[in-house]
Amino acid sequence: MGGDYLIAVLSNIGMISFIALSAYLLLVVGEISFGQQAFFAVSAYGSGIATAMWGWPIWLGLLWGALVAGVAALVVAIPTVRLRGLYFSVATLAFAEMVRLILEIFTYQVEIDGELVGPNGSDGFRDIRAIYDSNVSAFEYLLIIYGLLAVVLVGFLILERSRLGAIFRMIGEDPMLTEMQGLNVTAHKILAVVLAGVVAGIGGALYAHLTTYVEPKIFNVMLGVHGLAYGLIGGLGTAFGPLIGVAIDIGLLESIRAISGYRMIVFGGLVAVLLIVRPRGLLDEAAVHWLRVRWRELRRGLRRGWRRAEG
Amino acid sequence: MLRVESLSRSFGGVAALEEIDLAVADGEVVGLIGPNGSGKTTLFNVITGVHPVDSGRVLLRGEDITDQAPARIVRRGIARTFQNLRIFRRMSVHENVWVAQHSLPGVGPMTLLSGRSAGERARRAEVDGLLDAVGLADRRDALAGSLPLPDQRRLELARALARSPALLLLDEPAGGMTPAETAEMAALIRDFAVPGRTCIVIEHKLDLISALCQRLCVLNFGRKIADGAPQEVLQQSDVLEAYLGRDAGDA
Amino acid sequence: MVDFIQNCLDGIMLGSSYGLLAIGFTLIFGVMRRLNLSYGPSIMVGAFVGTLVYLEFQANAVAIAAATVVGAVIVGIYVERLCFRAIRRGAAVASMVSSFVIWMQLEEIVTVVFPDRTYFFPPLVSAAPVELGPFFFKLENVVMFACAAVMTVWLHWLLQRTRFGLALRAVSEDPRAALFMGINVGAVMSLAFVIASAFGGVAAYLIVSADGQITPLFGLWATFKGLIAMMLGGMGSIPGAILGGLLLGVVEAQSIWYLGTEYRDLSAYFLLFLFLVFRPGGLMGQLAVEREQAATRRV
Repeated sequence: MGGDYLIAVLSNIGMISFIALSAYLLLVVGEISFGQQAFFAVSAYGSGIATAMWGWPIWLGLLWGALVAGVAALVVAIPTVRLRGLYFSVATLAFAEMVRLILEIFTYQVEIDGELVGPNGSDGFRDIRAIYDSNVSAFEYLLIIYGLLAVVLVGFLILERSRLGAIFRMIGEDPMLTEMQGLNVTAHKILAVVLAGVVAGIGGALYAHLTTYVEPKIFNVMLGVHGLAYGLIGGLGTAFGPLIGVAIDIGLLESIRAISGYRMIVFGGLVAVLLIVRPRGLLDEAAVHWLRVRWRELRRGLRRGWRRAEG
Repeated sequence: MLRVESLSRSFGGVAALEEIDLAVADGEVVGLIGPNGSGKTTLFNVITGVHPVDSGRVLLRGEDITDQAPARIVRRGIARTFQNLRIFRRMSVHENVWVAQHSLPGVGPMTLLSGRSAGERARRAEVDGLLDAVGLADRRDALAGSLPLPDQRRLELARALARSPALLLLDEPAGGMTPAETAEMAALIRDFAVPGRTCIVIEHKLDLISALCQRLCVLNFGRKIADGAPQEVLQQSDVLEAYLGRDAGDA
Repeated sequence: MVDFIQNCLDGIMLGSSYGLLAIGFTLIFGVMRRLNLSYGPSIMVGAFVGTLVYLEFQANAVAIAAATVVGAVIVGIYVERLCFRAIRRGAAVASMVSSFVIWMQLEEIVTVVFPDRTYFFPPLVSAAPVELGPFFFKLENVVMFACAAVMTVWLHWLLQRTRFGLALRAVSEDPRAALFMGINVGAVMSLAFVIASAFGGVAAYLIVSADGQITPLFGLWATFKGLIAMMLGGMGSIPGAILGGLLLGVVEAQSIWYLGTEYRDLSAYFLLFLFLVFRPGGLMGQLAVEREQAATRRV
């Protein structure tokens, strides 16, 4: 197992984590999305077009990708946010498949240095070479991926301690009761969908520049449903949950060679059993709450001990 | 404070409320009684905008709030509890009361993310004060879903009070409680919830009603059949027949 | 005009297979109020069991069909036990995700047992298309349409005229109340799952034999076509499932003819999206009623 392979696996874990976090945010507000891969796709194409065709710098391309994804999420959110449960889920699925199928026929190419560059329907979009042109090594790019992931994760952790995060959890548990606290459920849900779109978008933009080549069929529903499953495996109590889910699937199982041909058989069975025991994942709200209380007690105990030692 | 004018609401052809008129003055505590299915909870739901009305009007301090979005109605100073207990079971006791402050003035979107400001610390202290008052201080960090039923009712009361509502709607605050717990709840409401505000209380337990209310209003099959001082209302023959007669038959 | 009508006829024939898939879906959803994503993959496994019987014994059509149905039912029971029965009520998301990971599992099992991916599947009938005036019919599609019609009528009879049907409708309306009425809710749910899987098995046999081949991708295809047809028709409604299937078939056939093959799925999803936004209850929808009931129940 060489270093390149390790970097590739870690990069993949990093990028899929964005989709998992994106789906997780919607699970927190009580909605299941089968369509987060659409925002990943929109941003991959958008940022690729910006850097490869318009010659924008990478950082601006990434920002642009996230922005495009956010706008796309807003466009989906407005008509669908009133739908509940399965209706919302299927609407996100329909939207995501529409995006993928439109990308299958979407052609927009310009000639750069005697070569045609740009998305070409189902043949995909080649030569998104911005990171190679600016001599960013695979390892440096890995650091960029994890740096951005850390920023997003810190954002989630701040959110979770804030009133806004509490509002998202309230909506996930009981929208009517949330409304009865004087809160506009619809507006907050739209906000959640847009934020989730932006998070997926960051992942998509990073992905396009890592692989330099994207094609529509990568963004099929399997990508989105995997992202969804990761949150439920790792747990819905904290943003670390989806990351744990990703780590278990890609990090652990992919690296055990003995089960390579049977990975999904083992993984599927394990997860099904896990969901029987813990329907909201390993780190569900109760587990996180328990940990938080223990942590607080520990800190209090330490402080008391410290004072005693001083005095 | 609140005026309801010839309010009607039906579900699939069944009239849940028919031409209800009700006026509640500032500072009054009105008991709303009637057999199961007589429309008491539906009246709360219509007042708070959960169900749209078919006809009629709801006025709060003279302003028409009919068919407004629930969140807007609630922000005008109404808070309620629920007959079948609604709490955020996956949040702690403290958080359950804390979340009620989200839409209060001064807690706008800008303060949403700042956890440690002075204002926020004061509001946290306020929550602890409320929990202390309803006797849940020592359960502060417990998961709300793990509380026994009487404590959950107390928690709902604390959450409603956290919004300092001018009008408080209590839906069976002692539902499912033993007589001793009911007496405790009645004392808590009387001493802590009622002072300085207007209340409507739905309750089947007459000892709680008589401990709290100056006025009783009786619903039966979606119609108001009596309204007045408790002693008078409870002696009306149709009230006895509709409410107590059937209640005795049920038991 | 002839083209348009021929497209409609083709669409109806195609749509009857979607309708068949949607019936099983809607039956499970109606009773469980949860989505079974591994519905398609479990009937795909059934079809591979049929393939196995054909490859090993050169069996005739009846035996292959029976093997397909039995396979689908056995896998259906496995899914029901693992993803639905074992997960407590209220955890609908967990059930759905569980059914998704089982889907992945089933697909991999099939790939391990059948490494060549694409296998020949013996056709039920092999005759030239029937000509009727200016129009053409494929015989296997006519069989499919007839089966869909017979199964719908039978299911309607089962639901409306038998004690089991009554129990099933009671469970679907309110499982708690049904329990208090002495109905064995668990047994009714299991049986509904078995019936749905058997329907799925029949649908799988008809569709796969009409195609003449089977791949593991059939699972994904069946889940999505069945899901779309169910949503178009209105969730939980049996006539809706058939109508939704036919509508989907016709729209697909027209898009292929007038817009081109690459627009086939795009139009289907676009239609679905429009329905969800403007008429979420589907063709036979009762959404308004449901929403009202839900609101009342929750307060």
